[in-house]
Amino acid sequence: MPAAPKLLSAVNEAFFAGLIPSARLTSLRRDEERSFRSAPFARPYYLCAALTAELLAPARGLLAVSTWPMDRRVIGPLSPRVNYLSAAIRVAESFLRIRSPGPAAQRLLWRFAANIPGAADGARNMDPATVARAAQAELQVHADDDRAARTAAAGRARRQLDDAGQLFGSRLRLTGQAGAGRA
Amino acid sequence: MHDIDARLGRIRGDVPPQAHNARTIAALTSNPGCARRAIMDAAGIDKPRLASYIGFPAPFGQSQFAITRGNAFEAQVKANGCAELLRLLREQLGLPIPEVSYDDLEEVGGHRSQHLRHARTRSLLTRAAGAGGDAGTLFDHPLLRLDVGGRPVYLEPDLIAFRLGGRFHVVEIKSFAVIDGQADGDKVAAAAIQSAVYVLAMRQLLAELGTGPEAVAREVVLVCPENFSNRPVATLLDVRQQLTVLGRQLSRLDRIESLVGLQPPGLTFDLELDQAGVPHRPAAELADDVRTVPARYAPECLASCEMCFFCRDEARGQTAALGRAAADELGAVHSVQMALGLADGTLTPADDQAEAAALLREAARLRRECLGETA
Repeated sequence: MPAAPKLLSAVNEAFFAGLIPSARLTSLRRDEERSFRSAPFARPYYLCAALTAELLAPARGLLAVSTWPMDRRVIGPLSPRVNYLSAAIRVAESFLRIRSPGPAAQRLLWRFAANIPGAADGARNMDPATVARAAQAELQVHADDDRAARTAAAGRARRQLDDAGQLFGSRLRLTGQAGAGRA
Repeated sequence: MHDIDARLGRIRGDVPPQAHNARTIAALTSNPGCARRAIMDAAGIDKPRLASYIGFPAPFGQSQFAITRGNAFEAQVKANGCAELLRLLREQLGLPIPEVSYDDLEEVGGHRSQHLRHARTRSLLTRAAGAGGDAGTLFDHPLLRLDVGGRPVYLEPDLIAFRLGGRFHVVEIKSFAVIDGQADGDKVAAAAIQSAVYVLAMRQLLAELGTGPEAVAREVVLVCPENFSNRPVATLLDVRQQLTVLGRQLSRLDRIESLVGLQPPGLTFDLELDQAGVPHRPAAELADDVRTVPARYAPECLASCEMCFFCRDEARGQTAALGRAAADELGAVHSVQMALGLADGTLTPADDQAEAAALLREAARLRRECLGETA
C-alpha cells in the first residue's frame, strides 16, 4: 500500500539491515517522474505517487510502486486508515516471522498497536497475533466502503489520464489568472 | 463605508494593509479599551515596523525552535491518517469506529492557492453539513475566512475540523505540555481564544450556507503532549466566553468609524516609503502622530502588542503602568507622583480621590512602622 517515507524507513530499520534516511526519499518521486517522462517504461518499475480519489492529483507525502494496480494506488477518504490497518497487519506478521525482533521492531509494532482499539494493553505485553487480529477487525468495518470508492476512482483514472498522469497524478490546471492571483 | 476606508487608507499610507491571522485577531481581545491599537489594527498598519522606526522595537514573534517543535508534534499526531488523533477522539468523545474518513485540504490538485483551497473547504463542509451520517469526519487544514473590519481575512489554521453526530468540532494541536493534568494557564487561554477565532470563522462559513451556529460545537478539542513524553492527550475546552469577547471585539472594529472620527483629520502613520521601500518620514513627527491617539497601556500589553515598549515609555509615571490591580485600587489617582503626594499628606485629595487617599495614607503608615521609622 502507499506509504510515507518516514514509515518506509522505520520498517526498513526494523526488519532489514541498513538505514534509509527518510530525507533521502522525499525528492525521489520528482526524480522518478523526470526519469519516466524522458524515457517511458524504460525500467521494470518506478516509485511513483499515490493519487487522491477526488481529483486524481498526487497525494501529499506518499510513495507507491508503478506495478501496483491502480486501485491500490488511489487514496479515498477512508484509505489512510485502511492503509494504516493493513500496514499494522503486515508489520505484525513480519514480527512473527523473524526470530528475535530488535528494539526498532518492537517500537514499530507498538506505534501501530497503541492506536488500534483492543490491540494491546501496553508496550511491554504486546502480542503480534492480537495486534493483527484487532487491526483485521477494524479493517472489516471500513474495507467495503473504501474498496468501492477506490475502484470507482481507479476506473476514472484509467479512462482520463495518460501514462505519466496515471503514475504521477494530474495537477489542476488553472485557467488564466483565476485562482492563482486572487487572494 | 467608503469614507472610512479612505480615511483608514490615509492613516496607513501608501502600502497594502497587513493581513490578520488567528493570532492577531486573538490579540485584539486582550486590550479592548485601547484606541491606538484598535485604529492601527483596523487600518492594517505594520506595527512591528512602525514601532522599530520610532525607536521602540519589540522583540516579537515566535521562536524558531517553538515553531519547529510545534510542527513536529503536529505531524506526529496527524501521521498515518491521523492515527493518534483518532485514538484520542475515540477515547475522549466516543467517536464511533467507522468514522475515520480523512480529507486533506492543504492542497487542491497540487495547488496551494488560498482562493482554491477556500472554495474546496466550502464545498466539502457544505456537503458534510448537508448530508447525514457519512460525508466526512476529519478535515485537515481547512482554509477559513473571517470578516475583520469589513475585510475578508483568510485564516490558515493548523487544525482539524471533525464531525461527530452532525456537529463540527475544532481540534487545535499545541505543543505545550500538560503535566499531571495541568497546563500553563496563559498558554491555554491563548489557545482557547485562537480556537474561538476558528469556531467563529466556521460558524460564519456555515451561516452563509444557511446552517445555524449550533452546527459548530463551542467546545474545542485541545491536543497537547502529556507530561514529559511525546504522547498526545486531548482535553475539551469550552470557548463560550471567548466567543462572546471576540464577537464584541469584531463588531467594535466594524464601528471603527466613530473612533476614527475623534482623531484629527490630518492623522497618518505613513512611513513615506520611497521606491526602494526606505522610509523617509522624520521619526519624531511620526511618534507625535502616534501619541495623539490615546492608548491604554497595561503590563499585559507586553505579551501581545508590538507597540508595547512605546506605550510603556509613554505611560511611565502613570498608575496604569503598575498593572490593572493597582490601577483599580487607586481609582481617580492617575499619576504616581500624585499617589506619593497623597500618601505623605502633602496633597489634599479631591472628593473622588478621598477613598484612595485614605488607603494610601494607611499604607504609608504601615510602611513606616515596618521600616522602623517614627514619624
